Amino acid sequence: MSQGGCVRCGIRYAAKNRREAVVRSWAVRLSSRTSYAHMYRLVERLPLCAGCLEEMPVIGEKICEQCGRSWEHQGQQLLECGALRCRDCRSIEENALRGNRGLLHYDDWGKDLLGLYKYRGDERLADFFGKLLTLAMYRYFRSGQFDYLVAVPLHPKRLSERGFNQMEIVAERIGRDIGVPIRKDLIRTKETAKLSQQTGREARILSMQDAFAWKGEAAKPKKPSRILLLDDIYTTGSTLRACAQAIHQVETVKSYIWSLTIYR
Amino acid sequence: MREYLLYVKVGREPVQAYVTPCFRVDQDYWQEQEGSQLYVIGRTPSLAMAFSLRERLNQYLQERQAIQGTVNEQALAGIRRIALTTVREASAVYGTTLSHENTEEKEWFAWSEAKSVKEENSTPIVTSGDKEQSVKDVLAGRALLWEEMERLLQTHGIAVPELPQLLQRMVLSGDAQWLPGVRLHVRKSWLRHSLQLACARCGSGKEKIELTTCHSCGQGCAYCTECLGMGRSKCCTPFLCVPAHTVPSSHAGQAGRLVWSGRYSRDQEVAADRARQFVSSHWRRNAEFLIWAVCGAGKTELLFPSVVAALEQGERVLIATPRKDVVLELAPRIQRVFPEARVIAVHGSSKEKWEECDIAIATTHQVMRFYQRFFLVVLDEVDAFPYHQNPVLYRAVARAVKTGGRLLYLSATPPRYLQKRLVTKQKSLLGRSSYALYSSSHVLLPGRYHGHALPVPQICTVSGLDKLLAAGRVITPLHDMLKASLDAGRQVFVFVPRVEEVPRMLGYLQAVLPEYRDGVAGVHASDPAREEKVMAFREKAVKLMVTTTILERGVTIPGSDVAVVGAQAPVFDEASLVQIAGRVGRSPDDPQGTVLFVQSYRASAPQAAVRQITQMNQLAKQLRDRRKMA
Repeated sequence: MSQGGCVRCGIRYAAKNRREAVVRSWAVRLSSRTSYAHMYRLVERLPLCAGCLEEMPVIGEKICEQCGRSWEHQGQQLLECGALRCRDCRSIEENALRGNRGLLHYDDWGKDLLGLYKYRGDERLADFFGKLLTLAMYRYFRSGQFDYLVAVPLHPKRLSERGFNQMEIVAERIGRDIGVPIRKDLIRTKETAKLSQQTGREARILSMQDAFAWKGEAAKPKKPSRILLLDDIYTTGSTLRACAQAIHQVETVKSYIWSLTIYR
Repeated sequence: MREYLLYVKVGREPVQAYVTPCFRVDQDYWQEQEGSQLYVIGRTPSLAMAFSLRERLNQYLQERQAIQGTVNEQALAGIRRIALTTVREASAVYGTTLSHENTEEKEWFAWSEAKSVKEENSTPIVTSGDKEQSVKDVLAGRALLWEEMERLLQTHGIAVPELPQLLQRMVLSGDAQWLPGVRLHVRKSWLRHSLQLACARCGSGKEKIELTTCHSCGQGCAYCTECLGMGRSKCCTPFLCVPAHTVPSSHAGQAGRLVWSGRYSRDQEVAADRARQFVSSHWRRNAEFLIWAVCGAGKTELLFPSVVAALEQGERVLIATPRKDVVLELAPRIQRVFPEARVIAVHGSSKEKWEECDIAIATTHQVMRFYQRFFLVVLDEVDAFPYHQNPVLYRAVARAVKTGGRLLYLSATPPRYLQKRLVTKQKSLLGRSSYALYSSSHVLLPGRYHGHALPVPQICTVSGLDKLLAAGRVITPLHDMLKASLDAGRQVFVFVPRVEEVPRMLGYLQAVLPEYRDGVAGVHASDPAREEKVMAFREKAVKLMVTTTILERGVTIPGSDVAVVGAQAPVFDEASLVQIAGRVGRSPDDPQGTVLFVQSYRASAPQAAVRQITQMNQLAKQLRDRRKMA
């Protein structure tokens, strides 16, 4: 798998010409902030075959400027009234997070892949997700925009069960790619049930309160630091907001925190 | 985080090294048994490292037979030094193998020497006898990873607070065996030391194993990617094998009652009887037997006498087959035939996976979870996917056989190495060699149960096949054959080598056969509508089915013909072409049919397939003639 071949369907890239065309079309569509040449290289190195690459459910240009959700999933009336933020984001009064961006829709295309990586423990996929997130990083941000990257941590107990922190490995790869250091100072203090086992938004938000703590010091105590949080999926956003809050609590100067997820 | 202790035992036997997760148990056990002296060497959190050390130390101790009987401080120091260097070497080799560009020097494996063990204020275990027995009963005949075992005990409602202690006791008394999920070993060479890794469960080697920094053990670790779907087998996960001892069935004998109204043909009867003899013979000459029966010879039925023979001895039987759909189809069929036996279907998502049984029908992967549990293990379609070019899997599967049990292979196209091992060849007077019809290790059934010969494929070579297809030009032999079959009201399989070619072929066929436009469908492995399409084909709603090799086995459609377009492609090897040709003429009402291999250049596999089929037909004819003369 790691020696060439599509991570999703396992076949080797047979149709080179077709893949080239698909890569180019993605590079054109995604290169708003970076140059076409750069984006081309980022898309080209994704370990996906032509078919899977073509079907990749990338979130379009029209998104909620807060949480990065695509407008297509929102219904018509919201679009018409010209709002910049989606309903969920408007209902939150104070947001510790500046904003979130996600690269892909969370649908059948990527569900199994994430499951394979997270729960089955196929660490070879870390490489693939690392490349995806690097692409997302350059699509929405610039690498000089952040002082450091922080991966959402796992509870120590869960970590020892699973044997690895899926986002930490991915973060290391992005850090190496874009040359931004990683900090591992965020820790999870509260063990929460799996997302799928919790019912409702409120329960989720409640369970996430004070689930994290920042044990390190701020990078530049006098200046606001710029942090990018990394996670695999943004569902209600409570995890990432809790992380951001934990960081804010320690700091004297309010820092500038964005988050980037693979799925939105 | 668990820690493993390494110690050497000095007693009546030669000095040996042991690994234990709870030293207390070992102390008690050896005290009880022989009153031998134990010397602690050290401890490490990495299970694989502990086992690697044990191996190394045993080797060292064997070389130095001198330290027999007593061990003085000097000898112990020597042993500790060996252990330390082994760990350091492993650390270094692990570091270079992992080879991140900018990793700093790091101790991958922790090792701390210990002279004696501080009393861990633990009372000797007081697990009650019947609880111990129930754990033994549940685990008997299984080969499981630690997590799987915990889950299994949980589903059986057995809660043991001191499970490691209990299991260690079983290990010491020889009732169980445990290994690290992935074995680690440093192979030394004058040029470069290298890391040897092997998965204890599926037997995969280094190329399938990935190194990783693990947060469960905090040590250098590795996991197997081959059997990942069944849970991670890692260096730090104990893999526990418990052989089944006692005969389980209380109603021995009754389970073997066969209710089957079908009848064998003469050849089938002879073959089935030979297999039965292999199973029931007590002075065993060999533990393996191959039933080689051509496609459509009625292989499943051939098994019944052998299964009866095993069940009558009060033993358990396992039938392993590569695919889940076959398991689901086979289980009720077997249950009908053996109404008294407990039949379970074992596959990834089955509920009755862990239940007690007389006959288990399992997918190949699930077989890896059994350990010396079954007297008779039948491996169906040994040439198909998971076994194909994966001889290590045989070893893993053979683990399910009890000591002194029997392994029965079943195939229409046995792979070369099985043929070499089990099939003897005979030479005729003219010096031409052909397969023997039977020997002590195999039986060959060259004819179909309805007695008609196998349809022999026609090969036609069309140069520039791909271009002609792309241009939508008529390829005369293919076109004539398809048209003749469809006009006669028959159904046709068209096999193509790759998934991408399914839609292309569909388009082509619709263009050249406009009158059958609507009766054409294509299917491949990841097609969501796969089941429905195959169903439609069975119900004759679809006349012409374009498919990849997924329909090469298991699908029986009466009155069908086959065309393979691109038979030169490497996916079509001899075995798969023979299987494909075997789709045709299976029902007794319609034993004839056409098989056409279209290749773009002359390749060896189609030829070899034709040769094999004609050879089988010849053998079948000889057999018939011989019977007539008798």
